[in-house]
Amino acid sequence: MTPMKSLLKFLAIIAALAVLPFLLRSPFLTHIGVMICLYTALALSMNLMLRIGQISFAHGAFMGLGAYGSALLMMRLGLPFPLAFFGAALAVTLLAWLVGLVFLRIRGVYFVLLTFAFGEIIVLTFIEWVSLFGGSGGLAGVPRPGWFGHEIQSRDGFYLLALALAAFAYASVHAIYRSELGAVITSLDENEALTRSLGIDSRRYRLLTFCFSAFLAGLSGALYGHYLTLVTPEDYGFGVPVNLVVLNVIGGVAHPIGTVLGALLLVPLPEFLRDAKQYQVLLYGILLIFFLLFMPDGLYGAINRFRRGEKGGTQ
Amino acid sequence: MSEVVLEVAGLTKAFGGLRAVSDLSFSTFRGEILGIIGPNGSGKTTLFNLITGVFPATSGSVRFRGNPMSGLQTDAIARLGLVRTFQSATVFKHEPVYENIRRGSMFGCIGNPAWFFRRGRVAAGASKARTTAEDLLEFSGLADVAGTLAGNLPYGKQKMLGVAIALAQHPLQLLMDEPAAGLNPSETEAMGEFIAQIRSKRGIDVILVEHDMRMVTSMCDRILALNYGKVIAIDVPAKIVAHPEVIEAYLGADFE
Repeated sequence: MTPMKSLLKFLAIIAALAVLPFLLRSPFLTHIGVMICLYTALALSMNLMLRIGQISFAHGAFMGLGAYGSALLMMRLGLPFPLAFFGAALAVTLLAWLVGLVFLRIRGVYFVLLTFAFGEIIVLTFIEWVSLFGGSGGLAGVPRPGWFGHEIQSRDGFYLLALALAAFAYASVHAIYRSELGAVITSLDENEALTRSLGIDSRRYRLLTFCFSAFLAGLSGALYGHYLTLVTPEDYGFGVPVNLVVLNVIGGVAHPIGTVLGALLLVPLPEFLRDAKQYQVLLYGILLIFFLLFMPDGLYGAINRFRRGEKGGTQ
Repeated sequence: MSEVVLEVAGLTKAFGGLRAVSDLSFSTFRGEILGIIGPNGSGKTTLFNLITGVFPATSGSVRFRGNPMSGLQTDAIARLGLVRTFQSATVFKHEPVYENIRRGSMFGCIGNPAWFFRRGRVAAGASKARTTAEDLLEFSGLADVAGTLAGNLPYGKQKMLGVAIALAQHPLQLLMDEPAAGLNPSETEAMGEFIAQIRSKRGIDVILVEHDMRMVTSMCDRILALNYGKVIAIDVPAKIVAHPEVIEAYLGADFE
């Protein structure tokens, strides 16, 4: 497909998704749509990290900092929504750059542990710094997004914002993977020594990926906070990055569409299983075991193999 | 002798109490193939890692075409034209052969992510990378497997591809770490032929670490013999194979 054609196809899909809540007229389904969009953006940010081969457990904290940051910039400084929203995400990116300078020197399980510790420190700061972050109760009454007096009150409006965010995350991550940048990222994961010997400054590339990934997490977190109108520390703990990894593994890491499939499949589950919360983790566990055993390359890999099997059926 | 290309002076690397490379000095000259021999653990690979900036030296210096290399990272050294190959076949196994070589050429142009924003740089690099890849597919005899995933190639071809990826950077000097290791006799012969052409047709200097003495003595202008991280001798092949200390440390008395 030509780039123009695939762009048109992408825009058509987004447009179709945008009119969906106005046709369905179901607040519950619209809510699920918002959550799927937010988690798609978050999971794509984790996909970038998985592609450089470094699982980050700091992403819950990045999301939380986006949520608290955007809320506080509006509540304390009275900034308009767009400034607070992007300002918070940029602050998260700056922080990611600072910690990335140190953390990204370390690989494998030690990187996971370091980012885990960082995430826990941030969450503890949310809890302990009561005057700023409001302690365990968090921040209530987070303002709705608005621009020049127009405030987004409805679920449908939020859905459109969240869809725009997911579309931006998908388009940017997809564009990265299709460009030379994507070649560098996959090369770094596959063989760092070789990639460096070919003239690639691996530290700068890892840092860039980490920062952009944190930027996406910050944006998603900010929107999440405004959506719930309540920002509490427990929403941004260690469970977030775990879920994001699970979404990617089940959907398939190899292509961003896999990440979207993972979000489509898994995000609605807790909403439908609200009355049976104890089974939610169990179901996640069973799904994960099933996929790791039978479809290690996720839904995307399975679909891909099925399609190739169809085409190659005559051989 | 002609122009000095690489100048190593007093190079030392200590890992704790062990001096893997100890006060090593030598120079290479333009147009030369220099062989490096020595028993396992004599510091050959450590020497390569020091020259290419994989880790810093404890003391001493490396100069490439007169410029000091100390403090530079591997990628910066590679972009200056001092490029290495690896002891085991080191390729991007999940990519086709063509894409492997193309990346070899492309990555030097985008070594720093900031260069993405320099106008025309990526496009110019990409078009040069395509030409380079097509040229090197022919030169290295891999044209008929251009579309094959690198990981599916036989080992000998993978090692050949490893060299082609390095050549795609248009190096001035190639540091080859045991190119014949793991190859069968006919593959070894093909590799030897290939290295000879790298010098004669591409004008690239070579430093060759190798255990295959037939290859080393037939190809190299001079040989540097190492033991315990120190230079035993550096001389023309005929004198090295007759050198008593080299025979004792490495070749053994029955070497002819």
